[in-house]
Order: sequence, then C-alpha cells, then structure tokens
Amino acid sequence: MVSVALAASLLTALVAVATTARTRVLDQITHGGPLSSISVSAAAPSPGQGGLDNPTPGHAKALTGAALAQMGRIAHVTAVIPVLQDRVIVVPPAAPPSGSRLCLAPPDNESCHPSGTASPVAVPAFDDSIVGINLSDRSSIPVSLLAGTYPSPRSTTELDVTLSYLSHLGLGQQQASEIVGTDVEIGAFSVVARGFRIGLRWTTAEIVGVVTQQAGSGGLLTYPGLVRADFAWTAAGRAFGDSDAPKSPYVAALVQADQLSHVQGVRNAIAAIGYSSSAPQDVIVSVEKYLHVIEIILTAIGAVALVIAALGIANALLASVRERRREIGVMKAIGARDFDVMRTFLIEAGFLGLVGGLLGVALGIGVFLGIGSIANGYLIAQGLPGVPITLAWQIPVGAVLGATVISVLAGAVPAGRAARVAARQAVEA
Amino acid sequence: MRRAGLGAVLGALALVGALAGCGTAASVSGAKPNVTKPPVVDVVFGGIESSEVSSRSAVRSAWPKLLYRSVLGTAGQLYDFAQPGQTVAGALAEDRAVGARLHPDLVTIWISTADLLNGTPLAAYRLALDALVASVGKSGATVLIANVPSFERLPFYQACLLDPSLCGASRRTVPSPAALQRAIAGYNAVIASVASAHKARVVDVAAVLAHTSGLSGASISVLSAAEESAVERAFAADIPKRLRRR
Amino acid sequence: MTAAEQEPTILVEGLSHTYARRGSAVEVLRDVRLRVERGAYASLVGPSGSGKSTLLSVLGGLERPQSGTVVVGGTELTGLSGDALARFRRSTVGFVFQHFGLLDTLTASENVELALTLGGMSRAARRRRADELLGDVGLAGRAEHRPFELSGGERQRVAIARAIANEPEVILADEPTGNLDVDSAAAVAALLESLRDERGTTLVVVTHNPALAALADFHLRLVDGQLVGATALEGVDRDRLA
Repeated sequence: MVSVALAASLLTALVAVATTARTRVLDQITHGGPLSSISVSAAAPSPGQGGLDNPTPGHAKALTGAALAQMGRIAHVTAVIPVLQDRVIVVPPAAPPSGSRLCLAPPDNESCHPSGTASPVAVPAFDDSIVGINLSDRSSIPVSLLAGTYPSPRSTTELDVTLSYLSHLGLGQQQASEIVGTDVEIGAFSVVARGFRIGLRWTTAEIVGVVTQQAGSGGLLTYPGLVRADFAWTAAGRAFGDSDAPKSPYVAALVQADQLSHVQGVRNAIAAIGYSSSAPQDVIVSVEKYLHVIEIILTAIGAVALVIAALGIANALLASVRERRREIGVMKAIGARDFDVMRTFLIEAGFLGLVGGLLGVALGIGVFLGIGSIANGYLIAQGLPGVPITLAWQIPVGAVLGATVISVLAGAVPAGRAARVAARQAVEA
Repeated sequence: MRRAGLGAVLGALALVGALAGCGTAASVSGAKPNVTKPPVVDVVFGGIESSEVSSRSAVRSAWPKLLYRSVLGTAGQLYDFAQPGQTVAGALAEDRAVGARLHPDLVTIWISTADLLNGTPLAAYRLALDALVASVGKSGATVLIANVPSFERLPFYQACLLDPSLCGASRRTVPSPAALQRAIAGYNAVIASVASAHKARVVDVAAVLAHTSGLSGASISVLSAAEESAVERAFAADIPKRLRRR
Repeated sequence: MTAAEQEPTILVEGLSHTYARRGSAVEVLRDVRLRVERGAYASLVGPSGSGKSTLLSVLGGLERPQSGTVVVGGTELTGLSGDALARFRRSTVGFVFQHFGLLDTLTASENVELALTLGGMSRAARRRRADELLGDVGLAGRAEHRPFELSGGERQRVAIARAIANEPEVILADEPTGNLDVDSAAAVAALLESLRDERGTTLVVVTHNPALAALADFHLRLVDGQLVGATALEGVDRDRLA
C-alpha cells in the first residue's frame, strides 16, 4: 500500500506540475488571454504579411465602433473586446498611506530610506496612458493580477496599476500589495480653445490592485468608463483645431475565435475589413506539441511507478495467498465457492489500491502545493507573475481510480491462485 | 486489518478535504461599494497663481489641486483652465463656454495679475468678470472669487519689474508700485461688487498673503509651498459643506 | 420412520484414493466401505499417514472421490462440480478443526456469521442467529471478542457454533481437542455429544483423545488406507434416534 501511495502521489504531482507548467508557458505566450485570441491593431494590414504571427502593421487607421461591430459578425468569432486608451498625466500620492513604511520617492532619491527616517521627496508627476478594457471576462483578456483585486465593474474611481507604475515610485513587485489602497490623480489634456489653450481634466482613483497586462500600453488599467470620459475630454479638442487628438478611443481590440484552427480564417476576415492583426497561433501550435510530449513523459513516469507498485501489490498478495492457504481452505470448508475466494482477494487488492491512492493523492497534492509555492516564490522574486496553483479535479480522481483499477488488475493473478487453493488445505497439517 | 484500513481511508479523506479547503481560499475582494453620488465638478479659472503647468512639481502642489485633493478627491472632477498670462477677457472668450457646459458645482476664479500688468481698464475688467461669473454661475454653482493681494511684494511682480518679458508684458505696461497699489484697490472694489451681484463669495487672499515675505517663493513665478497651502485653506474655508466630500 | 431416515447418513462403497507424491502414486485409501447411520457418533483413529484426513476430506466434500460411491446426507458426491461441492459443504456438513480455523481479523460473532453469509442470509437475521448459536455454546458474552482474546476452548466452541450454523446433518471434526487442555477438551467433548443428543447430528470425529473417542458409538480404524473395525452401528439405541 505504501508503494501504491508513493506511486499515486508521484503521478498526481507530476501530472499536476506538467499541467500547470503547460498553462504557465501558454499563458506567457498569450499573456494570460485565451489561446485563440487575436489582437487587432488600429492600423491597416501590411500586404503579404497576413500569415505571420506578428506582422508589421501598416499605416495607422482609427479603430471605429462600426469596424468592431463588423468584426463581431465574422463567422467563428465569439467575442470582440475593445481596448480603450488615453494619454494622461499621472500624479502619485505625495505620501504613503498612513501606517505604511513605503518610501514614495523617485528611484534615484538617496534621501529616501525604507526605514522612513528621512522625509522623502515626492515622486514627480509623469506621463502615462490609461487602458480601459472590460475586466469581467478575465479568462479572455491578457491580464493577470499580482496583488489586490480588480476594479469593480462600472466604477470610475477604482483602477489597477502595472509594474511600470511601481517602478515610477521606486518600488519593486514585493511592495505591490502596499500600494493598494492609495489614490492616484489622473489628468487628461484637452485643447479647450483656439491657439492650443490647454485644459486639464483631473480625476482621482483608488488603486485597488497591481496587474500585468498586455491589452494596451499603459501603466493604469480599469474598466472602459473612466477611459471613455477622459477620451471624450481629449477628443473634444478636435473642435478647436487639435488634429492630433485621436478620433477613436479604441487602440486595439481582442477578437476571440471559437477555436485555434479558425484563428487564421478570422484574421483573413479582419484583414478584409481593413485592419492588421496578430496572434501567436504558430508558436502555440508548436509549443503545444512539445508540451504534450513533456506531459506524456511525466505521465508515463508516474504510470510506470504505478505499474511497479501494482506488481508490488501482486507480489504481496501472492505471498499472502501462500501464507493463508489454510485460511482459504477453511473458507472453502464452510462453503465458500472459488468465486467467493477470488472476490475476497480482488476486493482486498482494490481496497489497498483505493487507500493507497487516497493517501498518495493527498501526499501528491501536498507535494504539488509545495512545488507551486516554491516556484511562485521564485517567479515573484524574478518580477514575474505567479502561477495560479489550482488542481483540476480530474487529476486526483483519476489517480485514485487508476490506483484502484490497476491494483484490482494486479490482484487478478493472486486472486485466481487463491481460488484454486484446494479446500483440503483446511485439514492438512 | 479491516478496521485499520477503514481508519486510513477516513484519514485520507479528511486530509484531501483539508487540502481542498486550503485551495479554495480565494483572494479577499477589497472593492468598495461604487460611488453612487455624481461627482462634484470643480472648475478653475486662473492665471499664473493658479497655474499647474510651470513645472512638474507644480502639478502636485498648485493650490487648486491642493483644494481638490483636500475637499473632493475621488468624489470630484477638477477642470483646470488656469494658465499663466490669462486675463478675465481671455477666460471669457476661451474657457467660459467649455466651463459652463461642464455644469460645475464649484467655480474658483483668481484672475487679476495679467490684467493688472497689461493695464486692463477697470470698466473692461468689471464687464468681463461680470459676464464670466454670470455664465459659470448659471447652473447654481458656488462661485469663489479671489481678490487681489498686495502685488508688489510677490516675487512674480518683483521679477517682472526686473525683466518684463518674464510676464509676457512690455516694460511700458508693468505699473510702478504706487500705480499698482491704486489699481489693486480699484480691482478689489470691482471684485466685491460683482461677487455681491451674483451671490458669489470673495476669498480674501490679499489678507492671506499680506504677511508673506514676498521672497520666500521657491521660484520666481509661483507661490511658495506655504503660500499655496495658505491660499488653499482660504478657499476651502468658503466652500459650503454640501460640496465637501472629504 | 420414513424411508429417508432409514437411509444411512454416510454411505461409502469401494472408495479408493491416490495421490501423486514425488512422481510416484501413493494409494492413501483402498476400497473403503463405510456406513454411518443418522445420529451416530463415530470416532476415526489410525496412525499418522493412514488416510484419516483424506477420508475426512472426501466425506466433507473437500475433495472429489476418485472412485467408488460416496453418499453423504443424501448427496452423491462423485462427479459433483466445484460449485455444487461448495453448496454441499455449506448445507450438509460442518467442519471442526484442531487449529480452530477462525479468521483472526473477525470477531467471534463475525466468524459465525461468515458461514451464514455464504448461505445468503440477510444481515439482521445473520446477527440474530450468530448470537443464538454463541449462546448455545455458552459464549453469549464473548460475541465481540476476537479469537486472540479467547481461550483455546472458547475458540473451539466458536468454531463449533460456526460448524452448526447452517444446521448440517454431519459434523466432521479433525482432532477437535488436540490443542486444548483437559478441562477445555472435556467441555468441547460434551458439546459435541450434545449436538448428537439434541440435534440428532451425525458425528465423525478424528481423535487421539481417549476420552473423546470413548463417547463414540463405534470406532473406525484406518490402517494403510484400509478401514478395520466396526462398520456398523453398535450399541446405539435406535429408538432414541427415531
């Protein structure tokens, strides 16, 4: 049973690690978005580059609401998620939240010590972009949470920041959670009169989380509402001759195909509408092949361990049959049929497998969680987002069932031998 | 053997259950309830004293921003039309329309420096200020108008005397200290009467800045940090409770 | 007296049995003839290797007769299938072994129930019957004890309770007192005798214990696979059996 437990734990841990590693690698390629996600740029397609994963976009072309609606009607498209963006001035808080030992200061400010003894010089305001995307369907967008939470839907006073915001404040990812709860002021420019008279629209939002995101290029991320209002302010400048003000708030869109094999077709249709797109489809296909091989190898190692454990069970049961010949004889003497004896041994084998499997899975989950937290510690130390340590229920269930079934199969030979023990053994000396 | 095995099964199940429990510990949502009140709209008309664009640090510390931060924060939106060299007539022509369309709840006006330096006649100043206040106050906004401080003591004026190009004015239009004193008195009378006509409030920055050394500013063109916050407190004191969110 | 009751419980004609041992055939039983009437108590003695165990095995259906005729409790054992033999063992005979043959992991009650389980009885009925049987053998308070918690005599009484669980016509006992002290042996002997007296069970007891053998109605003696001595009922009051 110990061998079954160890094998089942090995199998569980290996399969779980392999599956998680696979998710991690594909996440890295798709930046957390789904595998069949297409990124549409606000640019015309370059001729002859339609088949490339990452073509060079053609000339800039406003991504309009009408164009997005058209993309939504392409066959096999399940979702079109627009990405809004506006250029803003960002004013970080002058002082850290009360009770925090954070040092909010420019990175090169030597007077700032984490001990907080010296009074830090405030971080200057800086130019950045605010990105707006519907954060409700997180599985479809290239965003991963590092600390805190996501803004509440429809809120115009909550946002998440990225690591670039932290580096403006001279903070590392380790301090990400401490920035949560602070306010940030966002200033949107607009030309408000002829002669480039500038008016600034200031709003204040609370930082509720820290993310990595590849949806747009900007240090602030929130739902579209806030960005839309800022964009409207900026775009109003066109009326006063600001021809640089963008015509559309959409800088990009994420178009989801229903499956990987339809990605190219959807991209062709997007090109026909007149926009450049990119998708990591070729990379994903080849990486998936390699990952599949790794998964097979790791699963095979676990399975071989389980088979060896099963042979151990068979051996132990054979020994048990030899030792218990007289007991088997007695069973038969009091009326047990060969089948009854066989069944008893099969049940015993299955029971060993089940208990071993359960113990092993528990151990395996522990090992997996341990490996996961070590790996996450390493990733976070490297400034990378951690891996979600979740285990598909199929893995432990499969391991327990597998251990049980293999043990029953392994018990077949000893059970058959037990069934053939002569009833006469009951009276042999 | 059978009993021991059953115990092991139960133990394993309990362990699996405990581990499953660990796995479901989700991140606690820190989301606050949405702000349901509409944001307070704060519109700033101003000149050099209210301006934020002269340096990056001013973005943080100009008094309109200090006021917005201390009184409104996430509950407000600040529309800042202040710019160096702005006159009341300029604000009326350029910013009034946009400002009024924003349906402000709070309007602050501190425009006098450029008018004084450019020699805007009292009558023209009154006409423009009256039209501006009438227009932006139409939607029932609380309008706060700053009066004119003892100008000659401010570093900005001192600098302008030395080099009028710093103020965008020619040497001819920079008034002497004595002429300035008379003009300031006339402007303040206009400000008081326009405010009273439109039920606006006058913020007495003249009194607030009366005791400043006039040389304490960090730069020649802006108020010192202490002066910025003194002005901010003066404005804040005149803001009615219903507009305060912090 | 009915026709069935007139039939002997055990009737053996011309039984021979051969084992292959180290390449050569060893004839352990030679033309055994035996007739044991219903309710009789037969002791079976003989030197070691004389074929006592083999005869007991054949009578109890543990082994198929190789030749001749063996009828036990009205069942002709020659040519029975494995499952039919198991059915026969379950319903017609009960075994009592020198080594008791109890399962160590089960309680006294569960050991008795095991025989009833194989007979297909429901759980509740099994439990009731096991308690009743343990009461009959004087172990009412020991139902939840495991074999290692019981004395030798108590273990053998549990084994006897199990042997009679399915109300067999024949009890086959192989040195039932061989591992017991004198007092326990006497108690077991008395219990076996009472089975015959109270239930009319036919007993065939292999024993070296003179006291136990003395209770028998007649003695069978195996020498080199051949039965010598009494083959018929002697000194038994037939009327008592009627």
